[in-house]
Amino acid sequence: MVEIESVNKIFQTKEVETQALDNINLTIDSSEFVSIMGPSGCGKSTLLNLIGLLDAPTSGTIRINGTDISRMNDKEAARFRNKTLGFVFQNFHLIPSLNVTDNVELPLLYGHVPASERKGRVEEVLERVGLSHRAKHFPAQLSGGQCQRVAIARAIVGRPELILADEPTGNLDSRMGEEIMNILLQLNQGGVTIIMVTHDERIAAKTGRIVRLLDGKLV
Amino acid sequence: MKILWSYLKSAVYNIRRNKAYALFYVLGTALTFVFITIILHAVRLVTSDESPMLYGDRIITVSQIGYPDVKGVYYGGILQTEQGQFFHALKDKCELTAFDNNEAVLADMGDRIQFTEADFVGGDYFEMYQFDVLEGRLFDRASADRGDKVAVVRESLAKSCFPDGEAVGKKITVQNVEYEVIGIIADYSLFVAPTTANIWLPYRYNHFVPSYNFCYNLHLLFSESVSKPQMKEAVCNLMQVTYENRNQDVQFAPDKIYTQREERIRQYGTDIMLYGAGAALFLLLVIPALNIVTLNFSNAEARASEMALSRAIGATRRAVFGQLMGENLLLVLIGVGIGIALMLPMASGIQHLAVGGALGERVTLLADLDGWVLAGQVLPLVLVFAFLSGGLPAYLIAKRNIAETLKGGDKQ
Repeated sequence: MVEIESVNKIFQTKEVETQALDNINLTIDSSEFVSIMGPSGCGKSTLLNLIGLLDAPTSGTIRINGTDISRMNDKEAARFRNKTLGFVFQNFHLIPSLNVTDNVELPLLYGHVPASERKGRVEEVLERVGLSHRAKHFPAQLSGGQCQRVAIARAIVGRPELILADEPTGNLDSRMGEEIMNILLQLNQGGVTIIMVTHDERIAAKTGRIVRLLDGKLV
Repeated sequence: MKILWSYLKSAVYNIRRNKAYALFYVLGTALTFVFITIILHAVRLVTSDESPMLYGDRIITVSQIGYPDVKGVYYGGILQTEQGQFFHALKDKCELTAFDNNEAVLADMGDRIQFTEADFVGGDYFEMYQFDVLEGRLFDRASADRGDKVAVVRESLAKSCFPDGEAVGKKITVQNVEYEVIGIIADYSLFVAPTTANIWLPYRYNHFVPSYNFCYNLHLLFSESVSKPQMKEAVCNLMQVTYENRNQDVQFAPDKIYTQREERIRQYGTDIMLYGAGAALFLLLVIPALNIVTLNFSNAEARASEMALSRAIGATRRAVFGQLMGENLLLVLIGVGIGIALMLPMASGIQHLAVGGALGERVTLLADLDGWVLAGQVLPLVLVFAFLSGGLPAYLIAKRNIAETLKGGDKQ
């Protein structure tokens, strides 16, 4: 599903050059649930961002389903993110002006999914994350756990093959974190590949494989 | 369609969340476009055929104060006694001829006496100048020749002197002659004014008081088949003949004789029209746009995380740019709407404050909104303004690195 070959990422400012990722080689199979772990600043989120086309590697190749994603232009990358990937962020990143339904529907709008299909798909995913009764609420009216469930609903509404979750339980208490993990595990059992960055060993232990990074290198 | 609705909701939410930003933006834009709209209307009026100057390109007015000769020395106008001969000599070239004499008068309107200007007119005056008639009718050549004691008044005078709204049928006394008001002419702009009069009366009762200048303004509407140089040549020759008949050797130059439209453009300054208005428009667009750019930078910064998220879930850079520009355009349009609504009151304010002392109540700076100016000139400038003020911030946000931007995002 995901093939990472000799990937390097260097962040460069006027004064400092920081090697965030150093010659990363990694393969993730379809339907795997992989945790990326490591201390702060080791490059976990950077790696996730490169896989998700949110940033570009300095060198190396990343292929998803055999497609070299580093060669895509903006339009192709946007379409790829919309159709193939789903994102879950630690900070949820919900749009405050839109209610739960509208937030979840947004990827379908960008994907030009017909209106007749959108409604059913949004209802289905909200049911799946247990938020049907909050459909008309706004993010400010929800708890952190509920916000993250909305974010997961938004990530899966486009039926992506790969979900990229950057510390999805990081801002939640343990009970909420548990709930979110259960949803992700269910999704994985349904065949969705998940790559998750986490600091939490307990959470990581529930996933199929743990990949560890230290100072930008796989260990 | 739904995506546009989402954008609109975001825009409204942003406006409500940043009221000071939105207020400053809208008011700044409104103020800018009040002046832009006034300038564009003025330029349009001066350079085009607007009522009552529909035939401005074909009318030459021989002024009652005369013309300069080739040396620039002014010679007086055509005397009342020479008028018939003058018109007769041009009868083959002119479609219509008319004359008027403008006098400052005290008009007695029953319960009120008003110091104003009256035009004593004759010939085809109201055929030549296509005034918009609000109520009643105008008088014609035969009526003026007969000496019907009728008067036509301008809208603003009718409103101020006959507040009950029934000016037609009322009596006005000017120079001890009582006239019946038979019609009301709609206010028209100073920039297309053939006269600054408020009352039009038949010439038969003109006492040339207080000017004692026994010359009329002669208005000549030439046939379409007569070219502009031919018009000027004909008027020039005829004036020379008129002066020869007075035993005066005066050399007039055709290039010093102007059509009504040329006269208007000259009056407001060709260079000012071409460069002054252009420069004013440029400054009016660029200076506020630069101010608003700084506002937009801070607003776009606050929206950066939302825009990055949009890109993460499938929006292209172009879509994000379009969304921010759309929001920007929405605020600009609100501001422009307010600006256009304020244009006439503002023009009226300028008229009273800036030129009121010199012109009093006699003229209207701008009388109406012109649809062509709004659609053909203001609207393109709105787009330019929106692009100038919002283009760069939107572009920078749209091209920003998604990962870096999301990293700085707060809980939302």
